[in-house]
Amino acid sequence: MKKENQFLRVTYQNKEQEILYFKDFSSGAMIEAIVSRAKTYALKRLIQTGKKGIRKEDILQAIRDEYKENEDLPNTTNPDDWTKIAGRKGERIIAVESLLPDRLRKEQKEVEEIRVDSRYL
Amino acid sequence: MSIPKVMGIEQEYAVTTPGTNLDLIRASYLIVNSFDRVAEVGWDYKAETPFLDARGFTSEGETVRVSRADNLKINNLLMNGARFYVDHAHPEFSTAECLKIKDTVAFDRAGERIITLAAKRVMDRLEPGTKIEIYKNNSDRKGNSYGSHENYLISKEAYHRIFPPSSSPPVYLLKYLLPFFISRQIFTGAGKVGAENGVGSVKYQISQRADFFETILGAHTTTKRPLINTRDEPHADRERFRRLHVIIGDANMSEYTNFLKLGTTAIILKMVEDDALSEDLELAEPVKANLAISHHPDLKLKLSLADGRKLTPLEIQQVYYEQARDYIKGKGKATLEEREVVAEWGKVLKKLADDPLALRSEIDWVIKLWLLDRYRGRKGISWEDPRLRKMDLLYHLIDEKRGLYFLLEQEGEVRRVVSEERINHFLSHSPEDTRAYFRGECFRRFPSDIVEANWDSLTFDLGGEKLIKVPLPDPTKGTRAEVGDIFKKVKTAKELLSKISA
Repeated sequence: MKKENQFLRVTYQNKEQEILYFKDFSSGAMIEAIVSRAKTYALKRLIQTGKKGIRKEDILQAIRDEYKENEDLPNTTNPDDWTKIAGRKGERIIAVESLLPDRLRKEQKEVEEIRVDSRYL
Repeated sequence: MSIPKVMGIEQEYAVTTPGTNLDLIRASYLIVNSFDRVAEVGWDYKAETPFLDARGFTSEGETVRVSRADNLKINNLLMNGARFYVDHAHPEFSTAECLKIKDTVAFDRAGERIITLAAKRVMDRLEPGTKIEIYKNNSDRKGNSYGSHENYLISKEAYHRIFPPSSSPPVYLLKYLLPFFISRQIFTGAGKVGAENGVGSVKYQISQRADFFETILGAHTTTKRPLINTRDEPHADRERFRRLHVIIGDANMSEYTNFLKLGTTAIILKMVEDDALSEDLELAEPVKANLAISHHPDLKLKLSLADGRKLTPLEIQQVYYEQARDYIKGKGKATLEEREVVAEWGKVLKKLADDPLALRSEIDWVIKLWLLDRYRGRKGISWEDPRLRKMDLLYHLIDEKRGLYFLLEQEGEVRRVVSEERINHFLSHSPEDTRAYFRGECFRRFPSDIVEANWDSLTFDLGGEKLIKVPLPDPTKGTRAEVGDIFKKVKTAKELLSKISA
């Protein structure tokens, strides 16, 4: 139950909060997807450096990427969907907040579009 | 008023791994990731609108959402401004935006070399005996067709002339433009042994893809495949521009065929912009006509027009050619390339009428037919012999030692249009006369400052709180003439952005 494995904070109707971890969302399909990712990362390294074999870092990266991809499934706009996945009984969920660390979310930095000079672009 | 025809080709390559324990999807990822990556630049999917339809509605579908790690695994954005990526289960190469027709041909060929180099790197690294074969064609002979798509910049007004709102029939398209796209295969087809997809039988046909078109108009490219694609995704300023996404063409091996395909189409689209097409050639049954032309390589088939006339595909092309010839003649600003296209177009139609085999160095389907016929004669075999199908495939094999087209080229049997020098130039350089120049220079100079790109934008991370997105709304700008001096003066991406800001 390390901090780096925290995935979501849910708030129930009675205002109680609970932290859900990556493990709460694991499934056979997800494990298969993680293994497949890890293999691909290892192959990619083999191509780039000639070094063979799946490493611990491939597995860890695969786990992070898989969860990153699934972060917004189901959609956070309908928090109730999360209960079905997480399997918590009874209590209604009213809010969900992602706890993924920033390094997984770099692309979610806000984007500001600048105006360009039409003489050039 | 016609505008410059910025254009590009998206080629989906077929991959096989005969006798190797490497699945095709993984092979595709490895190939795409084995060509030199400029930097960690992802593809900006948020900027895309693949579900807008030209006829004014939105079709169903899910937008792509991928993690950054997956994004970088799928996409390799190259120094030359091209996008090399995994599309579904195959590698795809999209050329950068080109202005000159011959540059587009040369860039497409650079794509062949890039994928060859990448596949070789994969084979060198994996276990001995790993074999990867790359084909530039449009059918796996198992019922799957994949595309060789062309893209042309056209004005918003011309696009709406072609695609009126869904409540009105696309009269202009049917009368003046579609007959061109259907009949151009007589000089753009890549040829194919037999038929597939349950459309009847034939010994040899003109087009790789004609067996797979089912409807006239649609936004899809893989199911219920339309002759004319309505995906309204300009990759440019919507107020001024549109992109015509042409999916009806074959993958061309011949530089000359590709040159004629791109050149005639670009001229016809300028004529749409100038409202200079005045001959009504509406076909009674366009989808059937497209298939029938392909299945009649003797070119003698008479097609029924909506007004009751019966014309051969050659006669239809002759009408387009004559209009284009007069249009270019009367146009002071026509480029040298456009004049060359018109001259060659006329010659090719004449040869197709007199003796198609006279084009056995120029037009893909004729080159292939000549090759197969020679082989058939030597071996005394019939058209049904499986060796001919194998040869058909080998024509498209991207391998300088075994690919039949490449062997013909080495023997000087086919006509070249672009120089080796120009092709190799595009392995690492973007065209200088479109916005691809700006993209390529940014990749070259500030690779670690760019996080994402799309055709019409570059997103920088300069360490601040926000990412900065630079729109590239005009495909004809950002050229060396416009921004070359700025690149010489600036040392950092930050300086660049302040110079080009309004």
